Amino acid sequence: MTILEEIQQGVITLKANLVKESVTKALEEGIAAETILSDGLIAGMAVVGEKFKNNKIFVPEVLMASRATHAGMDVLNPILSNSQTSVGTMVLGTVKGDLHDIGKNLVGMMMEGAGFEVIDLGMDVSPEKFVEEVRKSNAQIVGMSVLITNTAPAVGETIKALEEAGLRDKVKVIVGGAAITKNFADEVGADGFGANASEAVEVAKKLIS
Amino acid sequence: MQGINAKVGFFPNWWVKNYGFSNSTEEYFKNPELRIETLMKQQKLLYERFGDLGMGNPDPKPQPLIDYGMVLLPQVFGCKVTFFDDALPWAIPLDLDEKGIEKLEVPDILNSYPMTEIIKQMDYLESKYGRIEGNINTTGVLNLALKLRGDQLYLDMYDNPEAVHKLFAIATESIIQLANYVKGRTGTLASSVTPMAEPETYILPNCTTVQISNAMYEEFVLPYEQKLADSLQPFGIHHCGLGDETLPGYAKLKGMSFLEVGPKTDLQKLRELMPDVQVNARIDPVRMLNCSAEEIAQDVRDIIDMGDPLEKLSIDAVGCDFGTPDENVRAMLTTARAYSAEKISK
Repeated sequence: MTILEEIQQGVITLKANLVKESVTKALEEGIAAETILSDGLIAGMAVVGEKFKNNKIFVPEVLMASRATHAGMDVLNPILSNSQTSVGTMVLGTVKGDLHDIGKNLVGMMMEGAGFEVIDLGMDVSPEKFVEEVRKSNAQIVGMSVLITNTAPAVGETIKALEEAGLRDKVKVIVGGAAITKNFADEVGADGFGANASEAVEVAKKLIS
Repeated sequence: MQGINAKVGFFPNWWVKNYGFSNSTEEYFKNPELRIETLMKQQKLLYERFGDLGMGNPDPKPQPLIDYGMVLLPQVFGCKVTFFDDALPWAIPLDLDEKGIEKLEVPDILNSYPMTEIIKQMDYLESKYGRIEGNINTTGVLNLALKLRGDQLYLDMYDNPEAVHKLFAIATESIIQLANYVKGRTGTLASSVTPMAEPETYILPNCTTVQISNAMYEEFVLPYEQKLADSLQPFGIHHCGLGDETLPGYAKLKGMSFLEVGPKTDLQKLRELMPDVQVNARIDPVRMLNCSAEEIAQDVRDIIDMGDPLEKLSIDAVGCDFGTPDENVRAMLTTARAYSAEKISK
């Protein structure tokens, strides 16, 4: 097994200490930090995402894998901060009126695991707050999570607020959550729909590629 | 020939947007007379709109109902609760740290807010109407522990299992105390979770169990749910999401007579594992909102085809939101009743 495969396995088997040690070892072997990130940590999280999508693993395992990935990132960050490695930036939040956050948190972790920078605005996020953060961060993606049906109209309101702020053509909007369907996403003018956290990552990658 | 039991219920937003009043405000939960008045208004309106389907009542009597959403125990433990006009109240997780868990004890529930207010309401209703209807949703073992610890609980399952067991033990003991008190006053426990179980059944809300594997369920949650099943009989479970993963675990629970499962759960697998359990299968409120009447009718037929024996099956669609077409409500109820009756008569 190569050192990069060891890193992947560390993420997949949820072992934060192993990931940290393997990433340190990989750097000592002279492997570029960008390669360790893409072919080790991100590749490992991609496997985790696939397993989650197929109900082979569940929320605790995704949280553990995310923690393992972060253990590796902690080693890489001082090196990576000098170079441009982020795949893109996502402003993420649960829409106004909705206080559920586990789905949104999973999306955030999976996006980070895929190399995105994630600005998590938390729950009950107003359209104005999304607009403010997109303007400030120059994000390429807005992600909105909706669990309960009565808060779904907030997706359309946020998209409208982005339009009125002149930002709509600068960002791609992805929506997901139990209350949302692909048809709804299309109707309100979102660019993408993720049925689960793993799919949200796939959609995000396609939208900014 | 009579068909299976089928019901439809509506989310607070449906009432607010259709009729301009809510059944979920803070005032609704804290003012018993407002609640009685609201319930009577709802019954009349349901009769006007869906009376031909057996819903509502043209001349409702006062129902001295007790209700507090699903936030009572979280609030007893100190969670902040947010009330909405158009949605159910929601408790924000306490996110206890390890020291907080170490110090945590089973609270004196009956002498803690908001239970003290609920008891005052019970006393008031009993003295004025001679009885108390309804009951209090206790939340489930995993649901409540997540409110106390937050998502960190899931990491604890790997790193700190002692903390998980302590939280689950405290949750279990608290649930038993609350359920026993409420049943002692009202005689019922089910309706605050589901209208489909026998009223005296204790129904454990397992909304978050869908987030864990069956292995985790059996290792961590099942022992505490068994304790609940041993203590609170008759016993049932409400599982609002896809139930497939934890069906093997549920099948190991001794003394479970009712199981409510979320949309698209594999009923054939359920029946293989638990042939004698009374099952309520739920139709997805998002599908009720977005699909055609024929698609809803097909969902219902699929459930009935898979859910034999039909004498142990019911179907409901609760949480239907504003915008749910009336024809979908009709399709759901008429198909469930007629299609099941047809199958039973054969």
